[in-house]
Amino acid sequence: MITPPLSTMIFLPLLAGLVVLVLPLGRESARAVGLAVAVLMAAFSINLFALFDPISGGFAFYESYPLVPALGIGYRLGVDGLSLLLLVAAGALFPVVYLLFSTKSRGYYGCLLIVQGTMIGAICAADLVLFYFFYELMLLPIFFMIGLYGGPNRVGATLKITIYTIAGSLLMLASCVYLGVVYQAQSGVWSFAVADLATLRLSGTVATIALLGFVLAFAVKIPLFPLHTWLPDAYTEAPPAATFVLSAIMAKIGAYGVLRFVLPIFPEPLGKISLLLAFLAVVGMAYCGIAALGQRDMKRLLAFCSASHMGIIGVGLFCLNVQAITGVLYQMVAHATSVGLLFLLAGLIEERTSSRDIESFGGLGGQAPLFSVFFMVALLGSVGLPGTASFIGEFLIIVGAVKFNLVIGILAGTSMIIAVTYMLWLFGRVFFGPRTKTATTMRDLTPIESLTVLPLIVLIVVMGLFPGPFIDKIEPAADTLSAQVSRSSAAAGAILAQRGDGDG
Amino acid sequence: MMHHSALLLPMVILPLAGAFVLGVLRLATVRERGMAAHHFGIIAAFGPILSFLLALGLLVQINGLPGHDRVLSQSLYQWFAVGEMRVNFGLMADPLAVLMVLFVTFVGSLIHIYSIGYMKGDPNAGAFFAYLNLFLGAMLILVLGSGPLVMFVGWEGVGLCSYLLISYYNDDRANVAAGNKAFIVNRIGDLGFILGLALLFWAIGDTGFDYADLRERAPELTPLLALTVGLLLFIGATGKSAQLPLYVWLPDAMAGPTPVSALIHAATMVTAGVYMVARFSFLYMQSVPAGVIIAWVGILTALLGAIFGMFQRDIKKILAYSTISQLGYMFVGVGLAAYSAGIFHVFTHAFFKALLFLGAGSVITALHHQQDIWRMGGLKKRLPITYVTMLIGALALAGVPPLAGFFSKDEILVAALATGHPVIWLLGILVAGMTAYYTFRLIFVVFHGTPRDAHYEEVTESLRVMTIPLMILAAGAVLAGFINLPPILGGHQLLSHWLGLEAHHSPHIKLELLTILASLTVCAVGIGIAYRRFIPTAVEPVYHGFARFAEAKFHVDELYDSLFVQPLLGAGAAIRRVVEPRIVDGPVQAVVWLYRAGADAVSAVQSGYVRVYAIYMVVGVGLLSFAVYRLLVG
Repeated sequence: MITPPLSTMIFLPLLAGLVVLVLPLGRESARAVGLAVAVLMAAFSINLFALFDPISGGFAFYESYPLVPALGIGYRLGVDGLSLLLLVAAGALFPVVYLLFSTKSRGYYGCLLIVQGTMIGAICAADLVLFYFFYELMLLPIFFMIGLYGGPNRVGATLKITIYTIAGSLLMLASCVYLGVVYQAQSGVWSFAVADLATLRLSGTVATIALLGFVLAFAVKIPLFPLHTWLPDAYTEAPPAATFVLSAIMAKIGAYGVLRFVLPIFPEPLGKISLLLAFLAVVGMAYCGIAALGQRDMKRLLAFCSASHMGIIGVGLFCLNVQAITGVLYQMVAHATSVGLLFLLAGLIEERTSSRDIESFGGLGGQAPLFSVFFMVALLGSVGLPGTASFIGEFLIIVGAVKFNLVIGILAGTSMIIAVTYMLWLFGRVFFGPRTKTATTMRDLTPIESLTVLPLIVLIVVMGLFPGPFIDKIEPAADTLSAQVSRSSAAAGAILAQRGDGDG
Repeated sequence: MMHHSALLLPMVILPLAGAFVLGVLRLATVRERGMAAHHFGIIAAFGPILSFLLALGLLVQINGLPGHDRVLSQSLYQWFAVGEMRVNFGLMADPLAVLMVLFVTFVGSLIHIYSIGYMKGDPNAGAFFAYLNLFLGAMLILVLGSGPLVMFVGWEGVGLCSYLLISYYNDDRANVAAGNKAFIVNRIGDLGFILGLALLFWAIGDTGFDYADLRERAPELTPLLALTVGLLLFIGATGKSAQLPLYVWLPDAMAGPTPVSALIHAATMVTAGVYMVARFSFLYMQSVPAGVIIAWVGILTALLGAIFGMFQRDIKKILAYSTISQLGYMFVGVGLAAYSAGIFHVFTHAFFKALLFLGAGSVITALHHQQDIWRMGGLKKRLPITYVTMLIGALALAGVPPLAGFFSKDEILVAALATGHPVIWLLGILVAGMTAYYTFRLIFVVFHGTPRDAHYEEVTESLRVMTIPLMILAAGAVLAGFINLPPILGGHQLLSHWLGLEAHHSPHIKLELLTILASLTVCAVGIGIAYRRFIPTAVEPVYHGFARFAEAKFHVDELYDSLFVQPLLGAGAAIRRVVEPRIVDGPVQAVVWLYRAGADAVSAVQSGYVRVYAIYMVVGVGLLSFAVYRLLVG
């Protein structure tokens, strides 16, 4: 293994991206560079996954260099059970993007490379300021991809995502500063290291406000209802690769942020509002699911589908037990493979037929049999059929939700029903029925393309039937986190009880 | 003490491997005209037949074990482990499961063979047979799973295959809608199932989520929890087994090819709910009220299905409502803790209902996809084998002794009396009479009287590959009842003893005599009325009043549509048209407008949005950090 692995995984695509942007390469060479880097990255991630030891606890592959010693800001990187699967997904899922789609511009490939590096930076950051830096930076290439290479309404979409992001950034920055200041006040030294911040004991109104700052910022990214309105526009107008990146990885980094910073640092104030947050997430799940049912545009439907699924992940985030947390970690990757794949396939449909209008299709199954089998498997993955990865994730979240609060559990379970309604409607409308004129312009997957997509299909099934090797790597971290959260909540409860006794 | 069996895994894998091979072959040959349908069919038949042979092996193996200790298992691996939750993926067979796999693979094999003839010349037969094999594999997982979650894999797997096969003739959008309906309605049930499992897990599941562990710890359940979990699981069963209020998908499911209706929507998959209740007998024994509710839902569904069945004109829909009705009987049995009676009816019903459906398929293909019984008539001369075999199936369904349906249905009714539910018994007797009537209405209108089909003279009997399975199933419909003869008729209730699902009580001679007399009477009356009306010639009736209401299925579909489907679709459309652009997006639009105005103002010096954004951010962030710093430190 190359050393240091995490820095390599951040800077290899980042530098390659800059090179592609700066050097006057042809677009095919740019694509070749991108693909080569993506394959290397996939190899690194899989190797990292194999080497990762879940038992040791804490950060593995830790790197630390001081950046601003006076303020305790450092270049700190590390991987633990909370970030491992997401890191591997962000590292390994890119080759398919380069293989399936080509564009006219090398800038597009440059952006794609840079977004991968920055996302991995955000996932590996073990320092809050470093995390913030990468978290903000990773949207920049997406802006360019949507704004320069997107659909007809790209400018409006870019504007919307910009506004939301600014709002989220400001809230988060304020909360970051607050954490640094409080740490300094409590311990006498400055530090933004995640490990240090996790030792903070926070309570009171200001802490709750700071908590909300984080939650809102992450909720924009996830996105949680009602902060989701940038999503349908952005997902629809973005080129397929950018939509894939947004839905498969970037949305999860928001959820990951909650697990990484909110749960460990704010267990006590979070305990007070977790029921409310979980309820909002459930409402968002249902709302986005019903919204999906009303869509006519294939990508918009999938966008709402993705948002609806993220609602379930949101529920899991706030149930604060080991089953729900593990479910969230698992579901992040399950969702990336299935819904990510659906976006890729929808991108292919649009590229080949120049249509996203669901009503314009029919009989695609007969026109492109191989394509429709892949679409079906991705669809089954997204609705959480047992035997697919999402079933494990959703089941764990529902079981965790039932333990947390029975009503939330029942409401979360309705996602099982809502998801099949719009998905089957989409599939039936597009793939079944008499073949329309638009459908006849569809070309089936070539053998090479099929082989490109196959790993995702295999992953959907393997992670559904044999989740053990994946869960074993993440479960100890989820266990530690949930124990830590419940201990703090219990301690807070005990203090409250004491106060109550004193008053009485 | 569990005994190892290496037969279980191959039994499940064989049809699944068949499905995979067929799928790959189908995709590989779909471009160049494709392989011939019967080639796919012959490959497809291997999996089920081999699985049936393995099931026979399993029967021998399990009978070799001592009577009180008949459980075979094959543990495979730990599926997942999170915190206190540990779920194993394994296979398990007790006599109940062995009985199920025996008839599932037997009827499954026959229907695969029949389909070789039925699907002749169909260009998509590769997909059809792949789905059919996949179905059988999923059904075997459902039956043989070592725990409820493994069962759920099969449970939803068979639902998927059901969906794919209902939508098989998908050029017609109505068939696609029927497939969607089946999947969605089943998912509503499955939500209940999964919530039941979640509750069960938190109550007694944390020492392993296998039936063996759950059975041991079931007495720990509080009565309320046992009732709740039992009813939640039963919601799943009302979906899969088409009971009130979720039965509405099954009649529409007849859109699928007829062999599918026979195998999936009559003989096997739809009985999964009954099997589930019997499988969870340890749970239902903790809650008598849950069982009584199940029995009542069952008998009301039986009544409703019989009423609808009496007025339908589509031959497959008559049989579909009959299936709903007969499934209701089975739930009466398992609900009242007469598990072996319920399962016995599952077993006999599989033979005669599969037979009736395959016979109907033979009629339908002979008449070039005519399904309206009022366009048939006088077919017994043209389709003699189909006629005789279907007549046997009809006698069995109507409960004429000594055919299969007579014994199994009466056992359920006796149980209803013995457990003190005379109203259920009375309704059950009434339904028996209605069953005899609608069954013979079908036989008389289709096969007797004067021909009404324009091409009557050209009608010829189906291929041998189709009629031989009919004859074998007819033999089954005659003989299947004898494996559980009650003492009053000189038998020893062999099946009940072998299944060992409930404590054995002494026979209720009087109740049995009463039930036999009553059911024979209503059976004769039912057939008699049908004879009076439709022999020698049947005239297509025009329904009025209640009959018309029943022919329209009480407008339940329309009711559900306006209560659930249209509001949801309307909400979806409203969100797209109004809520998103006007309400949720309103503040954003306002900001966009302000932003545009501001951007216009500074456009003389600033040209790119991103740069504007960057400055905006830097300034804003700076101000805010300063403010926070002052607030906290200064």
